[in-house]
Amino acid sequence: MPPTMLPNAIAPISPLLRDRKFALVVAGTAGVQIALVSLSLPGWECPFFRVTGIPCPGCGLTRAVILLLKGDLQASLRFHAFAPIVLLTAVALILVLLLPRSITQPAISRLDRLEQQTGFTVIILVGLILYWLARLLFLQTAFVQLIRG
Amino acid sequence: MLGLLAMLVGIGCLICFIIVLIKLFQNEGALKGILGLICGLYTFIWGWMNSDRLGIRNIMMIWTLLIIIQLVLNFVFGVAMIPGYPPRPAPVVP
Repeated sequence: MPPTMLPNAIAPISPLLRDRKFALVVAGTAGVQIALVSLSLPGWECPFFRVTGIPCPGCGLTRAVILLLKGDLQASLRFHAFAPIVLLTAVALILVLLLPRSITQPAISRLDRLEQQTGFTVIILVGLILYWLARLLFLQTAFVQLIRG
Repeated sequence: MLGLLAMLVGIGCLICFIIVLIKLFQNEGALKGILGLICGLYTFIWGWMNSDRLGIRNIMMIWTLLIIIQLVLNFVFGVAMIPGYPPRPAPVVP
């Protein structure tokens, strides 16, 4: 292992992409959720927000992704700044499911190495938590009202 | 009455979510745990896919049942524990 490489625990995305069954269920459920919310039908609700009234770090992501898919980048970023990253991950999941293993496996291996060498997933997840804390501490009323709709 | 039921269902869902989330942190590490914290759906799917291995099948069944009850309450009665959530379309005024 090269000295720059960090433990495998910091690469959570590539194992997710490698497990096709899990990827299929995640992509399918996310698709159903996006369809339900787009049609203003009741879908998955955040259990944390429902009981406490405090948005969780992922609250608003579905609506932000829907707005992004509609091309409204500004409104999407207002809901959740990490929507483009989530959409990118969703696209990667769909590609993994659609493309043959001969193409996806080398790409996943490269992503795995990149995750381990740079730790970019850790940076994104920590960034997301900090973003949530900042919204909660400095923009709490606007944040809660935005999520409530 | 329905509001109270919605509240109890919501609390039940949260308890199941926390139990599965703890299992996720213990078995998959902090990063996937954070992923599960951000996306409850991920935790729910992971819980079902590992329910036999971790012996949480009953918890997953209870959680699923509670989600179905929650969906029915939302869809049929429009009951929401938090006022204004989930957002409802504004009534059409002539």
